[in-house]
Amino acid sequence: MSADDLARTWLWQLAFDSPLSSSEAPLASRWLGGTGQGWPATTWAPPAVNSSASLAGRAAREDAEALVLLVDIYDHALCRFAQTDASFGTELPEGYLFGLESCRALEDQQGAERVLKLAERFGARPGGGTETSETLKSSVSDLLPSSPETVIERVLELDGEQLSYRFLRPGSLHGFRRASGVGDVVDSAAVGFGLRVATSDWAVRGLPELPAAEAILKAAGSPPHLGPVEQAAEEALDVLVRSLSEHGARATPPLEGGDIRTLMAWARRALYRDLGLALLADEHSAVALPLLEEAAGSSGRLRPGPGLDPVLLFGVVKARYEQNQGLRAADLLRTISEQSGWAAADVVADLVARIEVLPDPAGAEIRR
Amino acid sequence: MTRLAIPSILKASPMLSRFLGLLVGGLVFLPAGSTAPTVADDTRTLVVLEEEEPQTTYPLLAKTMSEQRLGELLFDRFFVESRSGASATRVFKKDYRLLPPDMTLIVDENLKFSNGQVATFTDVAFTVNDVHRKSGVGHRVADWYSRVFGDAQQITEMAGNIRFLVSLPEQGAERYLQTTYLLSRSALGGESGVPDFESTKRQPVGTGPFYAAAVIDNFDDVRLTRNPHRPSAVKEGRTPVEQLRLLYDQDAARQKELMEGSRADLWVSPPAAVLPPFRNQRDRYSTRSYNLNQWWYLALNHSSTHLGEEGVREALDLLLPREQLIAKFGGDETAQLTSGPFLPGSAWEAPDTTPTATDRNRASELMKAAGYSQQGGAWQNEEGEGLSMRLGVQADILDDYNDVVYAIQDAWESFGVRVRVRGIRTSDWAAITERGGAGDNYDIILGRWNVDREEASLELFRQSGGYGDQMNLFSWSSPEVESILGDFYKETSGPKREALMQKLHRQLSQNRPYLFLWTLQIQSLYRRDRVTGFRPSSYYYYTDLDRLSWREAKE
Repeated sequence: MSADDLARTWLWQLAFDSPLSSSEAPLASRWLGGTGQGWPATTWAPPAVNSSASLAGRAAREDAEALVLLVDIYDHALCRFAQTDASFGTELPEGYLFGLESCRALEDQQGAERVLKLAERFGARPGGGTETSETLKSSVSDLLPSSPETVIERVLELDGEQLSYRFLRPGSLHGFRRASGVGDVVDSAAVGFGLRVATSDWAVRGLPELPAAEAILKAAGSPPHLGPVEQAAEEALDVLVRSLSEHGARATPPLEGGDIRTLMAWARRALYRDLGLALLADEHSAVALPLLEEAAGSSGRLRPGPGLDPVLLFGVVKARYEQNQGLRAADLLRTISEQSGWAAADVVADLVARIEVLPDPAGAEIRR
Repeated sequence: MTRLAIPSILKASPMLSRFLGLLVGGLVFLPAGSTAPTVADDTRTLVVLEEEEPQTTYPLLAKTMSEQRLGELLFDRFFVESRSGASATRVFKKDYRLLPPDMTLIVDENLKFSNGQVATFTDVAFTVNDVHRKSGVGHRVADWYSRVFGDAQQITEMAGNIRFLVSLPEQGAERYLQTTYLLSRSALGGESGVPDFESTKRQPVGTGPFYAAAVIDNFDDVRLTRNPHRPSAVKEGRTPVEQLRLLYDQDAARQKELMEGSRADLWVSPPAAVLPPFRNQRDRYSTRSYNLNQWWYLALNHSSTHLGEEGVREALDLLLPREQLIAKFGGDETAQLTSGPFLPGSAWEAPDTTPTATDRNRASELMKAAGYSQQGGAWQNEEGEGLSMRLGVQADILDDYNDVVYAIQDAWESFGVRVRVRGIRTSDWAAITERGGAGDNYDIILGRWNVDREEASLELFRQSGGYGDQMNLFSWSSPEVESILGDFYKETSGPKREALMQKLHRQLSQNRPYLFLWTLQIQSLYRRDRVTGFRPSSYYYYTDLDRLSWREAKE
């Protein structure tokens, strides 16, 4: 890659041209990584389309995307859970009605029919009070300030055990999703540095030698296989690291090994994140999961923090859930729920954990 | 060019260790797709670093995860869980029919065993009728298969019915067959009516992705070749892996040397503590999660002299420095403490149980309340018998985690409990621990279990039936637990099942047939500059192995 082309990448610009103000740099750590723990406190605004190219606007938009992912996981999980009488049994027939709402939100007609049969069989009826979990109310009510309550809780007492079943208010959350503006096309004229940083959209007008995620996936063909996608990603990163070494050596002062490593960590995270999220959106979670976990640093247990932004982590959750790694998905949801503004993730964690223990015809295996 | 201006807040996290610039400079100039020489003589053999040496190649006889993985390389399951969550099959045609109580299946006419023999429904019927449903042939699945399945009946050479004795769900009935591996009737000597696992294990015949082209002489170094009768699933233009070499029974230090020295390509289960330097070479190495639901334990012999006392059991539990111990695994990035048989966050984990916190003062109180006194620092009971424990440890744990073992020993010995540690080799495990033998040799066993789902852990606490005689290590029993399990197996309602299992979790946490320790997240380590498409599946590691290929050099 020529020096001019390299200079057009957000990586080089971030390293040399100081395009981020002192107030924006901390925001960029959301995607790029850095020191510190956890996510900044998230407060929710009424749904709005925000085409701002600033990092703050992008962060707000992505928080809404992350919420959509969470709601999507919830709907899929509840629709799936409610399709068997081993879910709510005869003890909580109302649960099937919540399941029905989720199946309908997904336009899963077959699922809705199965759940409806169970609801009718067990005489399910909606209503019966709205007992709200007090511990959740104060934090989750931030989720939708215009909506009074977002969680319904039912407590069953069976055999001396107390079982809590929590449901997200389907109407309000589905409304939020539809109104959030996610999926609206961002004004392309407003695409600026703030939108490109930490993505595989390396430079304005693209770079032939450094393909973006979209180009890699297009070249890999359909259906996507992990091997070719991975190899293309690594080859792109090879091009980048050579270029940084070659041209960085001529900069004043020269780019040092530690700085190259930092820039490559940003690039790797950005490329694998974009690849994984695109594949996940296209319902290829099997290939998406290892790519997203690579973007997240391939640790055993992930924690929200710099470089591990909400969209990335909820992407990992969704991919794990779809790949039947429910306990790992639930574990990550619980750690996310400890972040201010994300308490609803704990409700989804409970649901996913319950799916893990549904009766399964396959013989259970245990080994040393 | 302006001065480098990466804001410090964005610099790499402390986790990234600092390399010398020279080393980084050396790494960045490696050509893409470079291959360094691997072990010995063959650069296109995938060298896999495994765990304990297998005693069998047949997956239905597997007792360890290394045996399980080896079996997956050699044999196909009737059905596997596909990536979309539905069931997939290589053995049968996809348009099978379900007419309860029968499932009608047609064997794929392209399916061949590694010896070239075409697989037919004769082999399917043999697998079900003469192997899995038969007891006394070396496995422990006969109870379950006999409850679930009637006969498999052949209709034509390639087609037949499998009869179910249970009521079939509307969807997903094929999941009952997800743990059944197709076996060759002729290769296993099925004509005689009794499958011969022992004399055929060194060169088994299966339809799996690999096979033993030569007799396996040495089970700590197993070489396999791609099954020529099984089409590869890699994309056109890519080169599948044709040769595997599996190295067993090596300690972690040696395995680390092999990975660092480019003499191995895949390390299935490296200790978490060795990973950081590999993570700092992201162009060369990568990790992939291996979802095993693995949990560690100290099993207690309630029939032994001292462990029959509840206070002594609780005291030993209180002495364990759990937080320090999991720090040896990388802390909460890799490990979580457990309070019972079900994993943290499980719907079956009783919410009011917590992992035991260290409390040496309370331990002393309990010992005294149980009638023990200290003489010269060592505890003894009222009969003057010194508190002494024979601690058996799975040999691979003793090799790779001896710091953990000795920290446990030290925690007890510093309190005044004498502890003798002995490793239990894989080859001795069955003789020493099964059918009640563990109690003759040990008071406590340190080990780990891997489960494909939580329900499997129930086998550990059953007094009879199932895997009880092989997995209930000290033949522990409790009428309350037997009653809970009895109710559970009859119950179909989700909320009631959950209530029963939470009760069980609490009971086991309190009664301590085990001291429950922690669960670990396993990460496999592999050479990303050598191979692509590596993706371990949950529990069944090699489900997607057909897509693994060599990384091609860029033109």
